[in-house]
Amino acid sequence: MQVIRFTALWCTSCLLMKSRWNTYFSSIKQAQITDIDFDDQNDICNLYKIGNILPVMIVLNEKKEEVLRIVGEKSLKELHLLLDEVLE
Amino acid sequence: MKYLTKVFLFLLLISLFIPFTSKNVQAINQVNIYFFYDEACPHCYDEGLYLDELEITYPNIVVTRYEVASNPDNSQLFENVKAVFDTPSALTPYTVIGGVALVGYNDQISADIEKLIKRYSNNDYVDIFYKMMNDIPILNSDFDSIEIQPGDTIYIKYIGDINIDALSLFVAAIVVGIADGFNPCAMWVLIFLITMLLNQKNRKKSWILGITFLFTSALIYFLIMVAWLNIAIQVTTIVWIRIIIGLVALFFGGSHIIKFIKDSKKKDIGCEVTDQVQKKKLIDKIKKIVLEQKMFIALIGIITLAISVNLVELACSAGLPLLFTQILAYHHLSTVAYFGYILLYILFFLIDDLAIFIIAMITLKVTGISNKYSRISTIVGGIIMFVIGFLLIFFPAIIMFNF
Repeated sequence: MQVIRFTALWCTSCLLMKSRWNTYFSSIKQAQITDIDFDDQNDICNLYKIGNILPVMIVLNEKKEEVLRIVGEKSLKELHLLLDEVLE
Repeated sequence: MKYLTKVFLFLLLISLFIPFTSKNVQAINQVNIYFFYDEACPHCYDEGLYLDELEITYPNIVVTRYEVASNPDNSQLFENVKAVFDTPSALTPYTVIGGVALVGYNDQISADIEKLIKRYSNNDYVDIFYKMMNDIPILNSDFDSIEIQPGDTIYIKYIGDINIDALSLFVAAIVVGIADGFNPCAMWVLIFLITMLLNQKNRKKSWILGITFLFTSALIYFLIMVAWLNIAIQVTTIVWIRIIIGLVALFFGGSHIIKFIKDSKKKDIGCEVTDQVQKKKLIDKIKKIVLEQKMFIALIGIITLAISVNLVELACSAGLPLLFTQILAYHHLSTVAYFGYILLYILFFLIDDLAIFIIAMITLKVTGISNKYSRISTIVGGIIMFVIGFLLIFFPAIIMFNF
């Protein structure tokens, strides 16, 4: 599984979510994580059609198909609910 | 819009040079107290002693004593006064101050006497006893009540006497300042700046640049508020300007409330991507400043950044500070008090930014703030603006005398 996280340095929600993501992914080893800066890597953001709300997390399967998209702030509990099944 | 903002800023700048004219000159009135007593009555004796003390404490009071048991003229006068105040069966001690008659004597009455002295010392009042003695018609509106009124003071343990108006302005400065502080418009600049500063090895430089940014922001806000106050004081008596300001506040308050309702329907809370071109320019500017090797040039850069950010974001955040200054203008305060309230407002406006900066610099981690708080700030700010606008139009007396 590949996880792509879209954030921006100016985005307070992104900072908040980074810390929650780090907590969540500290126990999940099989995920390959890539961080994309919204301002510096705009071409990738356009490729994945990132909307106008940040942060965004996209989970891709082995075939590089999008299986899950999480937009905006989510609690750790919500992350578990959304991600646990997909990343199993 | 940019042209209008420039014109507005130019007018504000000009208004800084208008001589500051606060209407704070207020003489202390003479307060007349008419005390009806019976020499054989112990409560009258106690109140007499209390009035003696008050005469020392308050040199502006004049106590006139009428002994009613042995003096038939005073007794008749007492009956007349009781008839005027519609208290025919009242006994001594009986005290008349301004538009109030107090019957009996206990701790509450002594507190009421002092409260009335303070009220009438600083505000115009009608002396009903004087009117009665001089055959001047007494109007219903001449009667006063002992309930707390604007201008009164209340006693708070360990703090002392607090003026009700001052207390309400104090609370307003804190509440409106905090609501304004969570304004998301300029928050992203601070977050980005801190993130860049944390990546620098030179901690001292980071502290200096961060504090300079916050201090300059506060100074710009202060100058804008003082300039607006200067204008507001000149126009407080013009009714149509008050109504226009009220309508503008209703409009912006209403639009904040509508924005909050719209945002509540969105399922995803996060940072909205807007004005990317302007954002990109500011991001590049911040990077350049932080990476600048020469401290002096970096300082100039950070000061100009803070000035430009606060001026550009004025349209976004002007509503609350300008309305608060408008409220201040309706209160006749000293220049020092005006500045004090504005500084208090700015302190609470900056308190979240200061907390984020200091925590980040100490822990070396930028604390993210949920956009839920900016939503709360939107609705709180919107309601405050809407209510103030409504009061300015329909109940201006509440704003002017007892916010």
